[in-house]
Amino acid sequence: MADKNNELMEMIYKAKNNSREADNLVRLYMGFIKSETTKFLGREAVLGQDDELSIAMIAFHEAVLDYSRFKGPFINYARLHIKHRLIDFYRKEKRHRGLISLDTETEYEDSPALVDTLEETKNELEEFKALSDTKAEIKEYSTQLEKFSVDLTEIAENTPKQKRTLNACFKALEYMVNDSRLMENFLKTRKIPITEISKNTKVDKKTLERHRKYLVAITLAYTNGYDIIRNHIKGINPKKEGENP
Amino acid sequence: MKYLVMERHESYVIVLDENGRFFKVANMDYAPGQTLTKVVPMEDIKAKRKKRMGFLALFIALIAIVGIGAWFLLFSGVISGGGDSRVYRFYMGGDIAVTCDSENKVTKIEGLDETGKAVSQVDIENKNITDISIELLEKAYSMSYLNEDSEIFVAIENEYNDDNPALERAADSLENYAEEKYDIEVEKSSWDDYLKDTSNQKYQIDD
Repeated sequence: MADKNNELMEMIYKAKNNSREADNLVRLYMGFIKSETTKFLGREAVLGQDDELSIAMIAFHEAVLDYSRFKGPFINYARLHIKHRLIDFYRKEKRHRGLISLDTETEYEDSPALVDTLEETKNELEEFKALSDTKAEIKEYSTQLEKFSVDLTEIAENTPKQKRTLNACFKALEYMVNDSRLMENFLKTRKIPITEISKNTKVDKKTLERHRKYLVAITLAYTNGYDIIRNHIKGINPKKEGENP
Repeated sequence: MKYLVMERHESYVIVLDENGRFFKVANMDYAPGQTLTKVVPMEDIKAKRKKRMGFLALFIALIAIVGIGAWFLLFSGVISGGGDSRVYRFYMGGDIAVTCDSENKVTKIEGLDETGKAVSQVDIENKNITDISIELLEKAYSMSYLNEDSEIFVAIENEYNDDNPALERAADSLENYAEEKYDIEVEKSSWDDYLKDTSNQKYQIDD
Protein backbone atom coordinates (compact mmCIF):
# COMPACT_ATOMS: atom_id res chain seq x y z
CA MET A 1 0.00 0.00 0.00
CA ALA A 2 2.80 2.37 0.98
CA ASP A 3 4.74 1.37 -2.15
CA LYS A 4 1.71 2.09 -4.31
CA ASN A 5 1.32 5.49 -2.67
CA ASN A 6 4.99 6.30 -3.18
CA GLU A 7 4.72 5.25 -6.79
CA LEU A 8 1.73 7.57 -7.29
CA MET A 9 3.56 10.43 -5.56
CA GLU A 10 6.53 9.93 -7.84
CA MET A 11 4.28 9.99 -10.89
CA ILE A 12 2.51 13.14 -9.69
CA TYR A 13 5.75 15.02 -9.08
CA LYS A 14 7.10 13.94 -12.49
CA ALA A 15 3.84 15.00 -14.17
CA LYS A 16 4.05 18.47 -12.68
CA ASN A 17 6.94 19.37 -14.98
CA ASN A 18 6.46 17.02 -17.88
CA SER A 19 3.41 17.11 -20.14
CA ARG A 20 4.00 13.56 -21.39
CA GLU A 21 4.10 12.18 -17.86
CA ALA A 22 0.93 14.14 -17.14
CA ASP A 23 -0.77 12.61 -20.18
CA ASN A 24 0.25 9.14 -18.99
CA LEU A 25 -1.15 9.78 -15.53
CA VAL A 26 -4.46 11.01 -16.96
CA ARG A 27 -4.64 7.86 -19.12
CA LEU A 28 -3.83 5.66 -16.13
CA TYR A 29 -6.54 7.22 -13.99
CA MET A 30 -9.15 7.46 -16.75
CA GLY A 31 -11.32 4.87 -14.94
CA PHE A 32 -11.37 7.02 -11.81
CA ILE A 33 -12.09 10.21 -13.81
CA LYS A 34 -14.91 8.48 -15.69
CA SER A 35 -16.46 7.09 -12.51
CA GLU A 36 -16.42 10.54 -10.86
CA THR A 37 -18.11 12.05 -13.94
CA THR A 38 -20.65 9.22 -14.05
CA LYS A 39 -21.46 9.88 -10.38
CA PHE A 40 -21.96 13.57 -11.16
CA LEU A 41 -24.09 12.99 -14.25
CA GLY A 42 -26.12 10.16 -12.78
CA ARG A 43 -25.53 8.16 -15.97
CA GLU A 44 -22.53 6.68 -17.72
CA ALA A 45 -20.14 9.33 -19.06
CA VAL A 46 -19.01 8.75 -22.65
CA LEU A 47 -15.68 10.04 -23.97
CA GLY A 48 -16.12 12.23 -27.05
CA GLN A 49 -19.78 12.84 -26.23
CA ASP A 50 -19.92 14.31 -22.77
CA ASP A 51 -18.18 17.66 -22.26
CA GLU A 52 -18.34 16.93 -18.54
CA LEU A 53 -15.84 14.09 -19.00
CA SER A 54 -13.41 16.48 -20.72
CA ILE A 55 -13.85 18.93 -17.85
CA ALA A 56 -13.20 16.14 -15.34
CA MET A 57 -10.01 15.20 -17.23
CA ILE A 58 -8.63 18.71 -17.17
CA ALA A 59 -9.69 19.02 -13.51
CA PHE A 60 -7.71 15.86 -12.74
CA HIS A 61 -4.70 17.37 -14.50
CA GLU A 62 -5.11 20.63 -12.54
CA ALA A 63 -5.27 18.59 -9.33
CA VAL A 64 -1.96 16.93 -10.28
CA LEU A 65 -0.34 20.33 -10.86
CA ASP A 66 -1.69 21.86 -7.66
CA TYR A 67 -1.20 18.86 -5.38
CA SER A 68 1.28 18.73 -2.51
CA ARG A 69 1.73 16.12 0.22
CA PHE A 70 0.27 18.53 2.77
CA LYS A 71 -3.11 18.31 1.07
CA GLY A 72 -3.79 14.75 2.21
CA PRO A 73 -4.37 11.70 -0.02
CA PHE A 74 -4.20 12.66 -3.70
CA ILE A 75 -7.29 10.71 -4.74
CA ASN A 76 -9.52 12.57 -2.26
CA TYR A 77 -8.04 15.88 -3.36
CA ALA A 78 -8.54 15.08 -7.05
CA ARG A 79 -12.11 13.86 -6.40
CA LEU A 80 -12.99 17.13 -4.70
CA HIS A 81 -11.36 19.25 -7.39
CA ILE A 82 -13.18 17.35 -10.17
CA LYS A 83 -16.49 17.81 -8.35
CA HIS A 84 -15.95 21.56 -7.89
CA ARG A 85 -14.89 22.01 -11.50
CA LEU A 86 -17.94 20.09 -12.77
CA ILE A 87 -20.29 22.16 -10.60
CA ASP A 88 -18.63 25.33 -11.90
CA PHE A 89 -18.95 24.14 -15.51
CA TYR A 90 -22.58 23.14 -14.96
CA ARG A 91 -23.38 26.61 -13.56
CA LYS A 92 -21.73 28.38 -16.49
CA GLU A 93 -23.46 26.14 -19.00
CA LYS A 94 -26.82 26.83 -17.35
CA ARG A 95 -26.64 30.39 -18.68
CA HIS A 96 -26.70 29.08 -22.23
CA ARG A 97 -29.57 26.66 -21.68
CA GLY A 98 -32.07 28.92 -23.50
CA LEU A 99 -30.22 28.29 -26.77
CA ILE A 100 -31.40 25.48 -29.03
CA SER A 101 -28.89 23.02 -30.41
CA LEU A 102 -28.62 22.79 -34.17
CA ASP A 103 -29.07 19.04 -33.76
CA THR A 104 -32.52 19.49 -32.19
CA GLU A 105 -35.16 17.57 -34.06
CA THR A 106 -38.32 19.40 -35.10
CA GLU A 107 -41.75 18.40 -33.77
CA TYR A 108 -42.67 16.54 -36.97
CA GLU A 109 -41.19 13.08 -37.19
CA ASP A 110 -40.38 13.24 -40.88
CA SER A 111 -38.88 16.72 -40.75
CA PRO A 112 -35.11 17.10 -40.76
CA ALA A 113 -33.09 18.38 -37.76
CA LEU A 114 -32.46 22.14 -37.58
CA VAL A 115 -28.89 21.74 -38.78
CA ASP A 116 -30.12 20.04 -41.93
CA THR A 117 -32.37 22.97 -42.76
CA LEU A 118 -29.43 25.39 -42.94
CA GLU A 119 -28.07 26.29 -46.33
CA GLU A 120 -24.74 24.72 -47.18
CA THR A 121 -22.46 27.73 -47.37
CA LYS A 122 -19.05 26.15 -47.64
CA ASN A 123 -17.59 23.60 -49.83
CA GLU A 124 -16.70 20.55 -47.74
CA LEU A 125 -13.76 19.72 -49.94
CA GLU A 126 -12.36 23.22 -49.54
CA GLU A 127 -12.81 22.99 -45.80
CA PHE A 128 -11.05 19.65 -45.66
CA LYS A 129 -8.15 21.05 -47.68
CA ALA A 130 -7.92 24.13 -45.46
CA LEU A 131 -7.87 21.94 -42.36
CA SER A 132 -5.15 19.71 -43.83
CA ASP A 133 -3.05 22.76 -44.74
CA THR A 134 -3.48 24.21 -41.24
CA LYS A 135 -2.52 20.88 -39.66
CA ALA A 136 0.58 20.64 -41.84
CA GLU A 137 1.62 24.20 -41.03
CA ILE A 138 1.12 23.66 -37.30
CA LYS A 139 3.12 20.42 -37.46
CA GLU A 140 5.98 22.19 -39.23
CA TYR A 141 5.78 25.06 -36.72
CA SER A 142 5.98 22.62 -33.77
CA THR A 143 8.93 20.81 -35.36
CA GLN A 144 10.75 24.11 -35.80
CA LEU A 145 9.99 25.11 -32.21
CA GLU A 146 11.59 21.88 -31.01
CA LYS A 147 14.82 23.02 -32.70
CA PHE A 148 14.64 26.11 -30.48
CA SER A 149 14.31 23.75 -27.48
CA VAL A 150 10.82 24.91 -26.58
CA ASP A 151 7.46 23.15 -26.77
CA LEU A 152 3.95 24.54 -26.98
CA THR A 153 3.06 23.60 -23.40
CA GLU A 154 6.01 25.64 -22.12
CA ILE A 155 5.03 28.50 -24.41
CA ALA A 156 1.45 28.45 -23.11
CA GLU A 157 2.84 28.66 -19.58
CA ASN A 158 5.20 31.47 -20.64
CA THR A 159 2.61 33.58 -22.46
CA PRO A 160 2.20 37.01 -20.81
CA LYS A 161 -1.03 37.31 -18.86
CA GLN A 162 -1.08 41.08 -18.66
CA LYS A 163 -1.87 43.26 -21.64
CA ARG A 164 1.05 45.58 -20.86
CA THR A 165 3.57 42.72 -20.91
CA LEU A 166 2.01 41.34 -24.06
CA ASN A 167 2.38 44.74 -25.73
CA ALA A 168 6.02 44.89 -24.63
CA CYS A 169 6.60 41.54 -26.35
CA PHE A 170 4.87 42.81 -29.50
CA LYS A 171 7.13 45.85 -29.48
CA ALA A 172 10.13 43.51 -29.39
CA LEU A 173 8.58 41.44 -32.19
CA GLU A 174 8.07 44.55 -34.33
CA TYR A 175 11.72 45.49 -33.85
CA MET A 176 12.79 42.01 -34.95
CA VAL A 177 10.45 41.91 -37.96
CA ASN A 178 11.81 45.24 -39.21
CA ASP A 179 15.39 44.05 -39.25
CA SER A 180 16.04 41.25 -41.75
CA ARG A 181 19.56 40.79 -40.34
CA LEU A 182 18.09 40.07 -36.89
CA MET A 183 15.54 37.64 -38.33
CA GLU A 184 18.27 35.77 -40.22
CA ASN A 185 20.42 35.61 -37.10
CA PHE A 186 17.43 34.41 -35.11
CA LEU A 187 16.95 31.46 -37.44
CA LYS A 188 20.67 30.76 -37.58
CA THR A 189 21.58 31.11 -33.89
CA ARG A 190 18.10 30.27 -32.52
CA LYS A 191 18.52 33.08 -30.03
CA ILE A 192 16.61 36.30 -29.37
CA PRO A 193 18.99 39.30 -29.08
CA ILE A 194 17.36 40.50 -25.87
CA THR A 195 20.00 43.10 -24.94
CA GLU A 196 19.85 44.75 -28.36
CA ILE A 197 16.04 44.75 -28.43
CA SER A 198 15.83 46.14 -24.93
CA LYS A 199 18.33 48.89 -25.74
CA ASN A 200 16.53 49.99 -28.89
CA THR A 201 12.91 49.55 -27.86
CA LYS A 202 13.28 50.65 -24.21
CA VAL A 203 11.43 47.50 -23.17
CA ASP A 204 12.66 46.23 -19.81
CA LYS A 205 15.28 43.50 -20.31
CA LYS A 206 13.89 41.42 -17.46
CA THR A 207 10.43 41.41 -19.06
CA LEU A 208 11.90 40.09 -22.29
CA GLU A 209 14.03 37.51 -20.51
CA ARG A 210 11.04 36.31 -18.49
CA HIS A 211 9.05 35.74 -21.68
CA ARG A 212 11.87 34.51 -23.87
CA LYS A 213 10.07 31.28 -24.84
CA TYR A 214 6.96 33.19 -25.87
CA LEU A 215 9.10 35.63 -27.88
CA VAL A 216 10.73 32.71 -29.70
CA ALA A 217 7.31 31.27 -30.59
CA ILE A 218 5.80 34.50 -31.80
CA THR A 219 8.91 35.57 -33.73
CA LEU A 220 9.10 32.18 -35.41
CA ALA A 221 5.52 32.65 -36.59
CA TYR A 222 6.69 35.80 -38.42
CA THR A 223 9.41 34.01 -40.38
CA ASN A 224 8.54 32.62 -43.78
CA GLY A 225 6.00 29.87 -44.24
CA TYR A 226 3.48 30.40 -41.46
CA ASP A 227 0.80 32.38 -43.29
CA ILE A 228 -2.14 30.55 -41.74
CA ILE A 229 -0.92 31.11 -38.19
CA ARG A 230 -0.08 34.76 -38.97
CA ASN A 231 -3.49 35.35 -40.55
CA HIS A 232 -5.13 33.90 -37.47
CA ILE A 233 -3.35 36.36 -35.17
CA LYS A 234 -5.27 39.49 -36.02
CA GLY A 235 -4.50 41.19 -32.72
CA ILE A 236 -0.79 41.51 -33.57
CA ASN A 237 0.15 43.66 -36.48
CA PRO A 238 3.89 44.35 -36.47
CA LYS A 239 4.33 47.13 -39.01
CA LYS A 240 7.23 46.90 -41.35
CA GLU A 241 8.94 50.22 -41.92
CA GLY A 242 7.49 52.00 -44.94
CA GLU A 243 4.21 50.06 -44.70
CA ASN A 244 0.97 52.02 -44.52
CA PRO A 245 -0.83 51.71 -41.19
CA MET B 1 -12.60 35.44 -30.30
CA LYS B 2 -11.34 32.50 -32.36
CA TYR B 3 -8.90 29.92 -31.09
CA LEU B 4 -6.69 27.79 -33.29
CA VAL B 5 -5.92 24.33 -31.87
CA MET B 6 -2.14 23.91 -31.99
CA GLU B 7 -1.42 20.73 -30.05
CA ARG B 8 -3.46 17.98 -28.49
CA HIS B 9 -2.79 16.35 -25.13
CA GLU B 10 -4.76 13.83 -23.14
CA SER B 11 -6.70 16.30 -20.99
CA TYR B 12 -6.01 19.62 -22.69
CA VAL B 13 -5.16 21.24 -26.01
CA ILE B 14 -2.94 24.24 -26.67
CA VAL B 15 -4.78 26.98 -28.54
CA LEU B 16 -3.61 30.24 -30.04
CA ASP B 17 -6.06 33.14 -29.82
CA GLU B 18 -6.36 36.03 -32.25
CA ASN B 19 -4.36 38.26 -29.90
CA GLY B 20 -1.33 36.00 -30.17
CA ARG B 21 -1.70 34.31 -26.79
CA PHE B 22 -1.22 30.58 -26.24
CA PHE B 23 -3.54 28.84 -23.73
CA LYS B 24 -4.21 25.42 -22.34
CA VAL B 25 -7.91 24.60 -22.61
CA ALA B 26 -10.05 21.52 -21.90
CA ASN B 27 -9.80 18.95 -24.67
CA MET B 28 -13.35 18.34 -25.82
CA ASP B 29 -12.22 15.94 -28.48
CA TYR B 30 -10.47 18.66 -30.48
CA ALA B 31 -7.80 18.12 -33.12
CA PRO B 32 -4.92 20.37 -34.25
CA GLY B 33 -5.95 22.77 -37.01
CA GLN B 34 -9.51 23.13 -35.72
CA THR B 35 -10.80 26.64 -35.05
CA LEU B 36 -12.89 27.08 -31.91
CA THR B 37 -15.10 29.91 -30.75
CA LYS B 38 -15.68 28.75 -27.18
CA VAL B 39 -13.13 27.18 -24.87
CA VAL B 40 -12.86 26.17 -21.22
CA PRO B 41 -9.42 27.41 -20.10
CA MET B 42 -7.29 25.37 -17.77
CA GLU B 43 -6.76 26.92 -14.34
CA ASP B 44 -3.52 28.88 -14.05
CA ILE B 45 -2.11 26.93 -11.12
CA LYS B 46 0.95 29.17 -10.74
CA ALA B 47 -1.20 32.30 -10.56
CA LYS B 48 -3.62 30.54 -8.20
CA ARG B 49 -0.75 29.49 -5.95
CA LYS B 50 0.72 33.00 -6.09
CA LYS B 51 -2.65 34.45 -5.15
CA ARG B 52 -3.00 31.91 -2.34
CA MET B 53 0.48 32.79 -1.06
CA GLY B 54 -0.47 36.47 -1.30
CA PHE B 55 -3.53 35.86 0.85
CA LEU B 56 -1.46 33.81 3.29
CA ALA B 57 1.15 36.57 3.51
CA LEU B 58 -1.60 39.14 3.99
CA PHE B 59 -3.18 36.99 6.71
CA ILE B 60 0.17 36.55 8.51
CA ALA B 61 0.86 40.29 8.18
CA LEU B 62 -2.59 41.04 9.57
CA ILE B 63 -2.06 38.68 12.51
CA ALA B 64 1.34 40.27 13.15
CA ILE B 65 -0.14 43.78 13.01
CA VAL B 66 -2.97 42.81 15.36
CA GLY B 67 -0.45 41.12 17.69
CA ILE B 68 1.91 44.07 17.71
CA GLY B 69 -1.02 46.47 18.12
CA ALA B 70 -2.42 44.48 21.03
CA TRP B 71 1.01 44.27 22.64
CA PHE B 72 1.52 48.00 22.18
CA LEU B 73 -1.89 48.86 23.58
CA LEU B 74 -1.54 46.54 26.54
CA PHE B 75 1.98 47.45 27.53
CA SER B 76 1.87 51.13 26.72
CA GLY B 77 -1.14 51.59 28.93
CA VAL B 78 -3.60 52.88 26.34
CA ILE B 79 -5.94 50.08 27.32
CA SER B 80 -6.87 50.45 30.91
CA GLY B 81 -9.16 47.45 31.47
CA GLY B 82 -7.74 45.77 34.52
CA GLY B 83 -4.18 46.90 33.75
CA ASP B 84 -2.34 50.16 33.91
CA SER B 85 -4.94 52.89 34.37
CA ARG B 86 -2.48 55.80 34.05
CA VAL B 87 -4.16 57.75 36.78
CA TYR B 88 -1.54 58.83 39.29
CA ARG B 89 -2.38 59.82 42.83
CA PHE B 90 -0.33 62.25 44.90
CA TYR B 91 -1.03 63.55 48.31
CA MET B 92 0.73 66.91 48.82
CA GLY B 93 -1.28 68.48 51.57
CA GLY B 94 -4.26 67.61 49.37
CA ASP B 95 -5.33 64.68 47.24
CA ILE B 96 -4.52 65.08 43.55
CA ALA B 97 -5.20 62.75 40.60
CA VAL B 98 -3.03 63.17 37.51
CA THR B 99 -4.01 61.44 34.24
CA CYS B 100 -1.31 60.70 31.65
CA ASP B 101 -1.26 59.30 28.14
CA SER B 102 0.80 56.29 27.03
CA GLU B 103 3.93 58.44 26.77
CA ASN B 104 3.51 59.74 30.32
CA LYS B 105 2.41 63.17 29.10
CA VAL B 106 -0.08 64.77 31.47
CA THR B 107 -3.54 65.12 29.94
CA LYS B 108 -5.61 66.00 33.00
CA ILE B 109 -5.09 67.10 36.58
CA GLU B 110 -7.78 67.11 39.21
CA GLY B 111 -7.90 68.05 42.86
CA LEU B 112 -9.94 65.56 44.85
CA ASP B 113 -10.33 67.70 47.94
CA GLU B 114 -10.27 71.42 48.66
CA THR B 115 -6.47 71.65 49.10
CA GLY B 116 -5.92 69.37 46.12
CA LYS B 117 -8.09 71.66 44.00
CA ALA B 118 -6.02 74.68 45.00
CA VAL B 119 -2.66 72.98 44.41
CA SER B 120 -3.69 71.44 41.08
CA GLN B 121 -4.16 74.82 39.36
CA VAL B 122 -1.03 74.37 37.21
CA ASP B 123 -0.36 74.48 33.49
CA ILE B 124 -0.11 70.92 32.17
CA GLU B 125 0.84 71.61 28.56
CA ASN B 126 3.79 69.51 27.31
CA LYS B 127 4.59 68.23 30.79
CA ASN B 128 5.32 64.68 31.83
CA ILE B 129 4.53 63.04 35.14
CA THR B 130 7.94 63.89 36.68
CA ASP B 131 7.70 67.58 35.69
CA ILE B 132 4.20 67.91 37.05
CA SER B 133 4.93 66.13 40.34
CA ILE B 134 7.79 68.56 41.03
CA GLU B 135 5.65 71.54 39.99
CA LEU B 136 2.89 70.38 42.33
CA LEU B 137 5.40 70.07 45.14
CA GLU B 138 6.68 73.63 44.52
CA LYS B 139 3.15 74.99 44.40
CA ALA B 140 1.98 73.17 47.53
CA TYR B 141 5.08 74.35 49.35
CA SER B 142 4.65 77.98 48.18
CA MET B 143 1.01 77.89 49.29
CA SER B 144 2.17 76.59 52.69
CA TYR B 145 0.30 73.31 52.38
CA LEU B 146 3.66 71.57 52.82
CA ASN B 147 6.52 72.19 55.24
CA GLU B 148 9.53 70.25 56.59
CA ASP B 149 7.29 68.19 58.85
CA SER B 150 4.92 67.21 56.07
CA GLU B 151 4.89 63.93 54.22
CA ILE B 152 4.08 63.37 50.57
CA PHE B 153 2.31 60.20 49.58
CA VAL B 154 2.54 58.66 46.13
CA ALA B 155 0.70 55.52 45.02
CA ILE B 156 3.06 53.45 42.87
CA GLU B 157 0.18 51.14 41.97
CA ASN B 158 -3.04 51.84 40.17
CA GLU B 159 -6.48 51.03 41.51
CA TYR B 160 -6.14 47.44 40.20
CA ASN B 161 -3.03 47.00 42.34
CA ASP B 162 -0.75 46.79 39.28
CA ASP B 163 2.78 48.13 39.50
CA ASN B 164 3.66 51.06 37.32
CA PRO B 165 7.38 51.42 36.57
CA ALA B 166 6.91 54.89 35.05
CA LEU B 167 5.25 56.08 38.19
CA GLU B 168 7.92 54.50 40.32
CA ARG B 169 10.56 56.43 38.38
CA ALA B 170 8.57 59.67 38.77
CA ALA B 171 8.21 58.98 42.50
CA ASP B 172 11.98 58.42 42.83
CA SER B 173 12.68 61.79 41.16
CA LEU B 174 10.14 63.48 43.38
CA GLU B 175 11.61 61.82 46.45
CA ASN B 176 15.15 63.00 45.65
CA TYR B 177 13.98 66.51 44.86
CA ALA B 178 11.71 66.89 47.87
CA GLU B 179 14.23 65.52 50.32
CA GLU B 180 17.16 67.49 48.96
CA LYS B 181 15.40 70.83 48.56
CA TYR B 182 12.78 70.91 51.33
CA ASP B 183 13.70 67.97 53.53
CA ILE B 184 10.24 66.54 52.95
CA GLU B 185 9.80 62.78 53.02
CA VAL B 186 8.06 60.99 50.19
CA GLU B 187 6.17 57.81 51.05
CA LYS B 188 5.79 55.46 48.10
CA SER B 189 3.00 53.04 48.77
CA SER B 190 0.57 50.58 47.29
CA TRP B 191 -2.87 51.78 46.23
CA ASP B 192 -4.53 50.46 49.35
CA ASP B 193 -1.88 51.90 51.66
CA TYR B 194 -2.12 55.21 49.85
CA LEU B 195 -5.83 55.39 50.59
CA LYS B 196 -5.22 54.39 54.19
CA ASP B 197 -2.35 56.89 54.64
CA THR B 198 -4.15 59.78 52.99
CA SER B 199 -7.36 59.21 54.96
CA ASN B 200 -5.22 59.31 58.13
CA GLN B 201 -3.76 62.60 56.90
CA LYS B 202 -7.21 64.00 56.32
CA TYR B 203 -8.24 62.82 59.74
CA GLN B 204 -5.23 64.58 61.23
CA ILE B 205 -5.80 67.71 59.21
CA ASP B 206 -9.48 67.82 60.03
CA ASP B 207 -8.56 67.43 63.66
